[in-house]
Amino acid sequence: MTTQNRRMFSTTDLMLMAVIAVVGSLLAVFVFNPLILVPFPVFLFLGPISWVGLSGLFLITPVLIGLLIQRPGVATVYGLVQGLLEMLFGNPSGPLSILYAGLEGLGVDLSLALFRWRANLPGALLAGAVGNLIVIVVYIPVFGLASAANFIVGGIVAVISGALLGGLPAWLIAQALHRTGVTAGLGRKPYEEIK
Amino acid sequence: MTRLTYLPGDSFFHRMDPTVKLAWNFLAAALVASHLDPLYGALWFGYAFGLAVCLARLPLRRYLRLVAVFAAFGLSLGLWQAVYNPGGSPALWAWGPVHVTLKGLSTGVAILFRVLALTSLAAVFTLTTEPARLMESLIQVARLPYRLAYTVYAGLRFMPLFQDEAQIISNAHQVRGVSDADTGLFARLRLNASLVVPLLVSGIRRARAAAIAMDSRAFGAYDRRTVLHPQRLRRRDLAFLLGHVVLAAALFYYFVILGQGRLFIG
Repeated sequence: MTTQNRRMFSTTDLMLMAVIAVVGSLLAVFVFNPLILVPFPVFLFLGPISWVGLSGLFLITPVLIGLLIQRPGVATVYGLVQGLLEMLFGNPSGPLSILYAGLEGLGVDLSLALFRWRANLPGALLAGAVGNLIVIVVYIPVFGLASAANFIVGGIVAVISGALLGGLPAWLIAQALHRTGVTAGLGRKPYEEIK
Repeated sequence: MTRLTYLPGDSFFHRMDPTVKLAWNFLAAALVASHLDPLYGALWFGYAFGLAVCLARLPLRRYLRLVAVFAAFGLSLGLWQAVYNPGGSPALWAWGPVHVTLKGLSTGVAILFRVLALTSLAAVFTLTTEPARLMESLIQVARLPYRLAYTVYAGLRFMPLFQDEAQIISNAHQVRGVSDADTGLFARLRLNASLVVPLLVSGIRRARAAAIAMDSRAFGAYDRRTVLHPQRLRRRDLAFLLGHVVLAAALFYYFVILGQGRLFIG
């Protein structure tokens, strides 16, 4: 174990990433991907980018891992792992899913850095919002939908969706896990419980 | 349901080094996304289709079923785009506030072909790449830290365990009176959502146990590991990648330097 001390992540961190990544990949490929294609009437005003409305769901697990492990870079590394697993589980984006998941993680990391990786609700909401915004800004031109209107409206919806459908559920799941006692010893700082 | 997962075979793409294949796939996807035009998109879709059938030797029926699934997504994007962004050209058809123009239709068709081309490229990669070999190649060829690659391996190993665990938790819920008789979408979603926290709790416990077992066997003690299956880059793989690099440079010069590209709809 001579090199253990200079490593960013312990083996427990890596195995935790693997576990959450399996859940995240299965949800992304078999639940969220088909779900966002359903033209929900509430998002019809978005036209060709109506799928942005539910896109925040993809941010649940990257934010969750950030809240659990609380170390710099954890969400980005997690994103790469989840992207690889998503690709192998059959994400139609193929290798591009590594890029998208990595970008989601990068957005989460940048946001959590502002809160010094402390697990709190504002940090979780911001992480969901920024992570979703970054990936949507990349997604829109890849699908050939780049226009000023799509970027502005899509960006606003991505921020709201990321915060409410990604950050908030991640925070609630982290709280539920914390109450079971299973997160003891994970992360660096105590959780700020919802009063 | 048609699954987009590895299909064993012995084609050119099956034998290609996965890291080279990954680099090719990113490059090809960037090229597809570099210009929005129906003919350009159709040419890339035709190219990807040709690769899938001739060089990857994918079963045609399975490939077409996969493409059909994603064609529906591409078609919906294209139709929406045609209606929402009709452009300035005269309307071919109008109904109330809805105007369909030649420019809007052209953009819609271009988006449809772009989605089909990207999906076909993804199918060629995923259906011809064995997960274990991909990880071996990423460690040996792309120099990915092996601890990270093993995290993906661990994820693949955890998946069947999760399925068993989900069944056990579901059975426990039924014993306590939670029924899965209601087959409605929202009832199903509610039922599955109730699995998330118990599943994660058991997963985290399993992750800790796996980490202790791995650490006790000195996992990560050395920066490099010996390998059972050495991965080597073949000349024909590199030549295939190099051909696409040259094509990318030519298209970048034409579309970006000479300004002939149409990335944005405006």
